[in-house]
Amino acid sequence: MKRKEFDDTLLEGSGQEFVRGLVANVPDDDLSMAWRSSLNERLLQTAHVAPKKQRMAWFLRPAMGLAFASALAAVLMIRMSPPSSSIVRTTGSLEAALVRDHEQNIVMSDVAGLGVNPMESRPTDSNLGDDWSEVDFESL
Amino acid sequence: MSRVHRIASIGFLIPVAFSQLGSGPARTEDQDPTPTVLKHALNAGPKLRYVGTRVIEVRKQGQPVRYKEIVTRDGSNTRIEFASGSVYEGQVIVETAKERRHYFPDKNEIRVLPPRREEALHRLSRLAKNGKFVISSASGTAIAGVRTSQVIVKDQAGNVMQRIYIEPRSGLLVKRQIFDQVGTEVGLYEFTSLKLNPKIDPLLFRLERKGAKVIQPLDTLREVAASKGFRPAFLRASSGYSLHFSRMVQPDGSDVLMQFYGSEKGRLSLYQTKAELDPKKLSKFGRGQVNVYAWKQNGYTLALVGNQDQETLKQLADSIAFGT
Repeated sequence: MKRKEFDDTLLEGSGQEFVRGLVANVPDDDLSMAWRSSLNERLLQTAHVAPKKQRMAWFLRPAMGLAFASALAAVLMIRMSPPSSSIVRTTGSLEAALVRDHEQNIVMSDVAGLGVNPMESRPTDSNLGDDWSEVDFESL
Repeated sequence: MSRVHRIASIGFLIPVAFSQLGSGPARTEDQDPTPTVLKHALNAGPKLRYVGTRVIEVRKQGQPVRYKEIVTRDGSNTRIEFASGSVYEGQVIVETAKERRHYFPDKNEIRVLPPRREEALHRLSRLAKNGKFVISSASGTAIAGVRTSQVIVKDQAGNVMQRIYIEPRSGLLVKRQIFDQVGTEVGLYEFTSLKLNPKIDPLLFRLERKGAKVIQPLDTLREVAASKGFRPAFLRASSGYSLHFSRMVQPDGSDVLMQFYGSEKGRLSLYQTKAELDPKKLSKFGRGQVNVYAWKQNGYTLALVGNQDQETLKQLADSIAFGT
C-alpha cells in the first residue's frame, strides 16, 4: 500500500505536469494517404521499366557475345587463312618465268632421279675446303 | 536332290567361285596401261645392285649443263660420287631408305634431306592410269653393253614426252630422255658403263665426317630468305610434303624465294615475292598442265604451282606457316 501511495505522488510531480502539458499541446493532424499514393505511382513506373530493361538485356547479351565471337573469327580468318586469289594487273613476264621455273624443276628432278639436281646443288668451289689432290698420301 | 547331285554341284561351284575371284584383279590388270617392262622397273628398286657411270645433260636457264656421276647402288642404298674435273668434284651423296646426305667439301657441310627414291616412275605410272599419258613399249638399243627395252610416253595428242630404256632382266633404267612440247630434248641421263650385281661393301653407304656442319632443308631456307630480307613462308610437315631445296630466283628483276617440295602424291613449287602476281596469268602460262593457286599473306604474294588440282593447292595453302 505504501508503495502505491509513493507512485501516485510521483505522477503528480511538477516534471510530470510539464510533460503532460507538452503532449497536450502537440497538434492533432488528420491522417493523410497522399504520400502512399505517390509512392505507389513511383513503384508502378519502376515496375514498368524493369521488365523493359530485362528484355533489352535478354537480346543484348547474346547479341554482344555473338558480335565479339564474329569479330574474333574475322581477325583469325584474316591472320590465318590466305585470302582468295588476288586480282592484280601485271605484265605477265614474272608469271611466265615462275611457271617455266617450276617446269624446269620437274624436268631436272626427273632426270636427276637419285643423283644430283643442278637446281638444288651448286658447283664445288675449288678455292675452299680440302684439296685432296694436293694431299701427300705417302706421308699419311 | 540326291547326294551324288549335291557333290556334283559343289564340285562345279567351287571352281566357278575361284575363277570369279581371279577374274577381278585380271580385269584391273587388263585396264592398267603400264607396259610389263615398266611395271618390272617399278618393282625392281629394292633388288637392284650395280656400279656404273652415267652422263646427265640438262638445260638450265637455256644453257646446256653436262656432268658425270659414279653410281653405286645396293637395293635402297645409293652412293653417288663425281669424277675428277667435274663441277661437283668432291661432293658425295649417300641415300638410304631413311635419309639422303649430301656432302659439300668446300664448306665442310652435310645437307640432310628426305630420301628421293624412284618417285618419278611411280608418278608416270599413275598419270598413265589417269589417262593423261599414253605409254607403249618397243625394242630398245644396246646401251653401256646391255640390251634394253624401250618405253615411250606420249601425251594425248601423240607427242613423245619421254623415252625410257630399261634392262629387262634387272628392271634398271639405263637411259631416259625428256622432251618439251616441241620435241626438243630438255633432259637426258645415260649409263656409259655398267656392272650388274657386283659385290658391294655396305660401308660405302655411310656418310659421316667429324667437324662437318649438318644442315637441314629449313636451315638452308632460312639462310636463303635472310639474304634478301624475306620472312620465309613454308609448308608445314603435316601437309605431307617435304622440302627438297630452296633458292632465290630473280626473274623479271624481282626477288622471288622458290621452294621445291615432294611427296608420294606429287611435287610442287612454292614461290614467295614482294611483287604482284596475277593468278589468271599464272594459270594461263600453266597451259592446263600445271595448276596455280596464288594469294596474299603477310605482305607477300605466294603461289603454289604443281599438277595437283586447284582444290588440293588451296587446301595446301592453309598449311603455310611463316618462319622467323
